[in-house]
Amino acid sequence: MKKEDARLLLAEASIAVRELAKRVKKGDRVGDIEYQRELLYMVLLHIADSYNGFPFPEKSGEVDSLFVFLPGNVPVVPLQVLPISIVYSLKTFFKLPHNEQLFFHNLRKLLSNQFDFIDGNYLSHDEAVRRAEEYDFVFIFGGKTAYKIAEKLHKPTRIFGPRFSIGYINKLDLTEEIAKKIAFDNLAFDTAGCLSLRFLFVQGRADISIFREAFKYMSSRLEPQSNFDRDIFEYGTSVILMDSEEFIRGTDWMVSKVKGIPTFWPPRTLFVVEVNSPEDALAILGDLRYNLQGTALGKMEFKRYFNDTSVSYFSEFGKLQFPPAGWMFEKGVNINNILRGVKDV
Amino acid sequence: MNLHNEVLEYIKDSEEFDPALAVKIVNYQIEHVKHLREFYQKFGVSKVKSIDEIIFMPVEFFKKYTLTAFEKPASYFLSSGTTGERSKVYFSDQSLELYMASMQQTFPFFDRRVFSLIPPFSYAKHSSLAFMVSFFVEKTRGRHLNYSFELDEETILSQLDELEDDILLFMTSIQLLKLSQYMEQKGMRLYKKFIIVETGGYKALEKPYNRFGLYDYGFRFFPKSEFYSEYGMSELFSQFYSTGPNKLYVEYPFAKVFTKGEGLLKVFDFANLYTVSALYIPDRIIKKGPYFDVLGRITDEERGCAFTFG
Repeated sequence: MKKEDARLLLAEASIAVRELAKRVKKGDRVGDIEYQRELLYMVLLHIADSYNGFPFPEKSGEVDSLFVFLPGNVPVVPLQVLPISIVYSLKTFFKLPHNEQLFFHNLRKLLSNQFDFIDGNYLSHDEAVRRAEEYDFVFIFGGKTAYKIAEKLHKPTRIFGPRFSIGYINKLDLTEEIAKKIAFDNLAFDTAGCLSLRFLFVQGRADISIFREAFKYMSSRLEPQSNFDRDIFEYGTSVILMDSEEFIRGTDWMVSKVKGIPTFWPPRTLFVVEVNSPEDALAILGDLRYNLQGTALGKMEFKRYFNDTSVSYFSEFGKLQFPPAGWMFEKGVNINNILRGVKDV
Repeated sequence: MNLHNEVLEYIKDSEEFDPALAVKIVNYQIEHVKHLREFYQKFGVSKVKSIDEIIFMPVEFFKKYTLTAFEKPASYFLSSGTTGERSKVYFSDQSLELYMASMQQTFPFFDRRVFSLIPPFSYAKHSSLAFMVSFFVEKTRGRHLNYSFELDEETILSQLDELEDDILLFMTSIQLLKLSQYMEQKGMRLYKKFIIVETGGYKALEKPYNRFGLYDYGFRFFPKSEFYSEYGMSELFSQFYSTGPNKLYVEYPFAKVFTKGEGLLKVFDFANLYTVSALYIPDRIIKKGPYFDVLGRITDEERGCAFTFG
């Protein structure tokens, strides 16, 4: 496809995503899961905007078709893959998760006939593996199962995950306004996304009472999704109580001050860790520093401390869910190398 | 009467849940089990006054903390470790007395000779399952058929072939699966009329089976046998049995399930007097009156351990 044609298609996709956002705002049912509408609306608009500035590869590769195993936790992943398919002219098939198929189908309906190279459906595990063999390249989003799927495939593959996000802030910068933004980053997609903030490292003494009103307010804006599992929340938050030096617990959120990394990471739970420096934070994270996705910073000058990590995206607080155009899910992955095997990056 | 004897008598002869005794037990445990006391302190509670104030403690804590009312416990049971880290459950003669009293009340098959594929307690010294099954084998003048953690299918099957009808056979779910797979491979069937009680351990199976799916498979190779199930764990001194072939589990007054409708298992086990009675267990269940079915353990991804991503 010519670059101009691809640019036109991106613009058209942007309109479709914008239309989907409108429907979300209107209250239409867009997915099998009832998401946080305000968040989804904002994310969709952001994605629609990002299509216009989407980068093009230096040269198109040998890959003509792409099979994508989608994750079940965040619905917008196909929208983040779509521009890659457009700029490379890839025949693309999305294997949908069992718990969310409607969102993709709604999106697909909004895309015109020109997007006939985009398709997707739910398939059984075995069928999906068999079908994936018919494609040139495979993306696998998922947890531990992603690696098991990759082992079965004889195609070049790129696995995305598992990842999570953190924040780092000096205690003096932790204002009520910032606390609200942190609550937003944490409660987004019920903390299930790779860009949802799980751990906040506070340089200096952290008074977690500042989060009480912030979470009360933000949890009413970002209510639990329809697939929020209260049992898991209650069990998980009970487990982490013993690790908590202090905690505040609402009906569907919790802020827990901990010294280390707890074994359970319940949904809608923010862990606050007091540290003396970014180096301390990295020492506490240990090998988990290579599972980081996004990092929200109180001051961008902290960025340099996170070089030896897997962080792919730095942002201000309240902006973790909005990566820039061309963000390719993981550090080191860009539009020029995304269709090469993992080992090539 | 001291609390031990009160609980013992209650386990031996109780018709309904006794909230006052439950409260007494919890306060005893708060006083004597250090980490339970700390857990309650997190909620600002130092003593409970009614059953509504009881807080169910996650069973995970057995992996991390020493939860015992004894200063010097005699020994300990270890959980099977099918999910990684293992729980350590300390006991002494007093707690074993309650354990055995509970076994006598819950086990519905003392009228049958018990045979077991689970190795004896003398071999598996830290297995509460082995302790329990050895107790039944001895009580019913049955026999252990396996003295190994491995399963020699051929030897086991030749022993089973020699047993009379109507005996009871204890095995884990993985043993049932392996025997069935072996028989399928060899084109074998065993036309004996056994009561087969499997003791769970689904997490260890290579691919996910539910209980009834496993029985359907096993039934192809043991076509005259009936399948029952025992739900238990080292951390619970009381067990639950299915009320019939392919039926649900039933609770007891001294092992009361507090989950309402569908949710994670919350159980109050009086036989746990010397550890923690009110336990929160990450097995999803459905409760219908006194009956319940176990749908399975919450997964790592549900727990958040795999930090799922988008």
